Amino acid sequence: MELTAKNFQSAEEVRWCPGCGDYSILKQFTEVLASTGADPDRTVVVSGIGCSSRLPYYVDTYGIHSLHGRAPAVATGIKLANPDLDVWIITGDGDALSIGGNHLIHALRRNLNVPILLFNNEIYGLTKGQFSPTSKGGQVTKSTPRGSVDHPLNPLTLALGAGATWVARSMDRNPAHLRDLLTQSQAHQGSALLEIYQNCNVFHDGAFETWTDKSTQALHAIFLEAGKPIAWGGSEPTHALAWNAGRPEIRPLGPGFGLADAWIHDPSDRLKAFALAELVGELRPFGVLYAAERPVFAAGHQAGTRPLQEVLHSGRTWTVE
Amino acid sequence: MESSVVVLLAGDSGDGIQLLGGQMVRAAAQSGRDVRTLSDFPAEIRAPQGTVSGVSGFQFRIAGHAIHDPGALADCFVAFNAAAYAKYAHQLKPGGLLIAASEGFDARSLALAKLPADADLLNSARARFRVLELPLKDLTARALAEVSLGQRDKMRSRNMLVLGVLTWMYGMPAAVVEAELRAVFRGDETNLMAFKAGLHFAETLEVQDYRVTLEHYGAERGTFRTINGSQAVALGLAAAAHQLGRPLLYSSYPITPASDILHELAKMQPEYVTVLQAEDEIAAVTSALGASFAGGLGVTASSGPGLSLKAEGLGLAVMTELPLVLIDVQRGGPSTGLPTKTEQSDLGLALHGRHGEAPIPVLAARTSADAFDAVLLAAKIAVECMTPVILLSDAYLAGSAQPWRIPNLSELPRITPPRGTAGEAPYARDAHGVRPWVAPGTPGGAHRIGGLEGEDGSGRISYEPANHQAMVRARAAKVDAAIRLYGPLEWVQRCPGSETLVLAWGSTYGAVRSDVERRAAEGQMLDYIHLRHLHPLHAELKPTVDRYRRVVVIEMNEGQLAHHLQGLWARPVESVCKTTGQPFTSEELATLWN
Repeated sequence: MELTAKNFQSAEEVRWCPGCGDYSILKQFTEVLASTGADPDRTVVVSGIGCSSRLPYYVDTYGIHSLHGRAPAVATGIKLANPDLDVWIITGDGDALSIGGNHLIHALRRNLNVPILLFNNEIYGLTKGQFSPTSKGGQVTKSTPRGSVDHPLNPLTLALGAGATWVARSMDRNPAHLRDLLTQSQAHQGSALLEIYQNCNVFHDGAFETWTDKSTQALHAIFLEAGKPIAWGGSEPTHALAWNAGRPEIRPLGPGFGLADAWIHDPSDRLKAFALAELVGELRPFGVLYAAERPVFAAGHQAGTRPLQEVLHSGRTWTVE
Repeated sequence: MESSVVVLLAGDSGDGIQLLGGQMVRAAAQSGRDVRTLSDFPAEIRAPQGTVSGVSGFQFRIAGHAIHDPGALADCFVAFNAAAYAKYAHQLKPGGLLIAASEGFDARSLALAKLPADADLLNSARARFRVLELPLKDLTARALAEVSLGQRDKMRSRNMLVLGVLTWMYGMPAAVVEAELRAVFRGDETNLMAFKAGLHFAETLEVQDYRVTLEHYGAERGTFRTINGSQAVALGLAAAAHQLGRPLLYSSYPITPASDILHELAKMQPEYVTVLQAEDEIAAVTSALGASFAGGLGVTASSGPGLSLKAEGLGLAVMTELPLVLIDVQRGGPSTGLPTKTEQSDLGLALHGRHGEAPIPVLAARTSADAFDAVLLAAKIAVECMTPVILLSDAYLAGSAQPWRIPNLSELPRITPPRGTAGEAPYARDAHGVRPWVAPGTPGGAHRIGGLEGEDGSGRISYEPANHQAMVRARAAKVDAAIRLYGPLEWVQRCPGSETLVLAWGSTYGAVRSDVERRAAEGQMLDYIHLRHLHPLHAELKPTVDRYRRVVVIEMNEGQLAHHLQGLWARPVESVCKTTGQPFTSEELATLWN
């Protein structure tokens, strides 16, 4: 029997705030589980703590809602005990980048064979509105009434720096794009870090409107496609990026500079992926910035094979008759 | 004929003291004697050469009968240099034998040890001890005259020359030692030459006067090896994985003195066992817990500060009711404290150190070899009760070696996981309060668990006041029911008419046993129970304790078990304790209470 998204919805009542971006992510997630033919008996959703991390309760597969920031470590243990399981990590900006920063970078460098869905809303939601590691400088929150003085962390450059083999970005407001990226993250062999712009309509509403709103999206969001020019501006692109002396350069498309002259996106180019990830102003990339192959983690960590009898008698022994 | 001899070896941490001691122990064990050891090494990897802070010590006791502790004052003290002598001279019995490496007492050595240039240590030692001066450097140089090595490299074999001398002095089987050295140094004859030179020197020269003949010990039959606490834990985990027949993930972060378990397991490569060096202490415990969620057994280990960091993970393990074994190799604390020294001061943290109502079984190993059985029992309780378990060991046990009879596989306890097929609610309980263990991959078993309080039975998120109350008590009752897996109460000594009960736990076993046996021989009627289980306590313990007028609790902390028991029992107990970083000796205990 083919399963539908509905089959992946658990009986638990979904308790995010009305209008939260998490609803869309949950919906796309269950749809992707259905469309990719996920086996609920072999699928495990692991989360930390935070609004995003409630997601496993709402998905009818195996799931564990663990400790704040620790989901990558829990998932590591799960994969080592049973590498055949399809494990997903659900995390947020506070969970993954603040309290769990260490576990995230080590999961990435080890290339743990797991998609990591990082719901970034630039705020602590569950604790009711403190600034997070991705909050913008100057952002006014409950704990920063005079504006945050911390410099924001860039999840994508962090992931690339940590040695991630697949780094991408999507958004809650673009279901088709999100489904596509979720599907790709699952197909990747190794750690797949997918940052998902997620609107917290209660504590930080509209944080990503520039890129998610239909009226402004075309001018500011670049949707990357491998082998295609990096261009934006609507169905007929108006601008493109050029790779100029090791730097991205924004060029209007026109007679002097056509799509054929633009920078062709090559997700295997780590240096250029850094350059794309560094676009943190009004222009931001979505899609797969970087994808590479490297042996996955569990392969190098297999159980021993020496029989117990042999192990007990190893080393120098003597016998008393 | 002597029944027991205590030898203390000390020198610079680069002198190969631990290796020398280890070889003596193996030789003694194979010659049919019982052996116990005590290592004392600096926390620094290479402390400044020749200084007192760089001294590495190794004490062993060889006996022609069963012994339980490494002894206190030494009968023989081998001092490789002045610093070693300065540090340990007070531990040599008056009239004992001091073997001194001449070159280690020259002007330079005195200066390094910060001793006055005119201090004639050996001469003043003669007033208190029998002194045998060995020109160790010259003897080694002569023995290796034909070897094309630099002087510095040759001097690395000084410890093997001493091994030769001691082998002869204590009548150890030289052929056994020689075979051992051939195995250890594979093809490198240098150390063997130094060993033989020491042996011949002792045989032909003045050392004859110092020869000691030791009784032979009618040890049990079987195949033996020497084992220290770290090796015993590693082997016990290998056995637990085998008995469970499921993956065992050993995940830990480097910390002294727990790291040796990691090294041993990584080296052994036992079936079912996967070893992970985690990125931190928290990842170590949570990855272990992940393995348990996936149907394997998660195991982690640490020492003091690491145990603190794992407290959060233990809370999740309590809440999710998953098996987990945490081995705490205690050391002197708090903070970095005395990282290479021993203490039992994590007991309070093990018993109580978690957020929320989170009782978990806590047990302790009493000897190095016992750590094998203790870790198997910890794994059995964890799996059969679906609970995290803390096993307490310590730095002394970790490094202390003794002969160990290798058990047959048929002697190992069964470990039977709870039911694991789909169909039951995640928190449905059996007669012992144990929930099912349905691992991902089980058809139709999909379920969610987590840190949020779950509804009794279904495990669905519940904030209902009555439910939380019920779950708190259900979790505690399940842990209390672990006593069904206990053996008999651990009586060590019972004397007719005794009104005094001694209680101790963990690595104090050897010293306390020697002490109470001596007291009994001298007419002081004492009973002694050595606790395996710190929580839940053995069911017979309280009624037993109630029969005594006086209860004495002996431990290497400032009275943590004593305080705990007084709180539980509302009765006074006497506390005998110390926190010096050194284990009790039975001689010391004789002076600490009456």
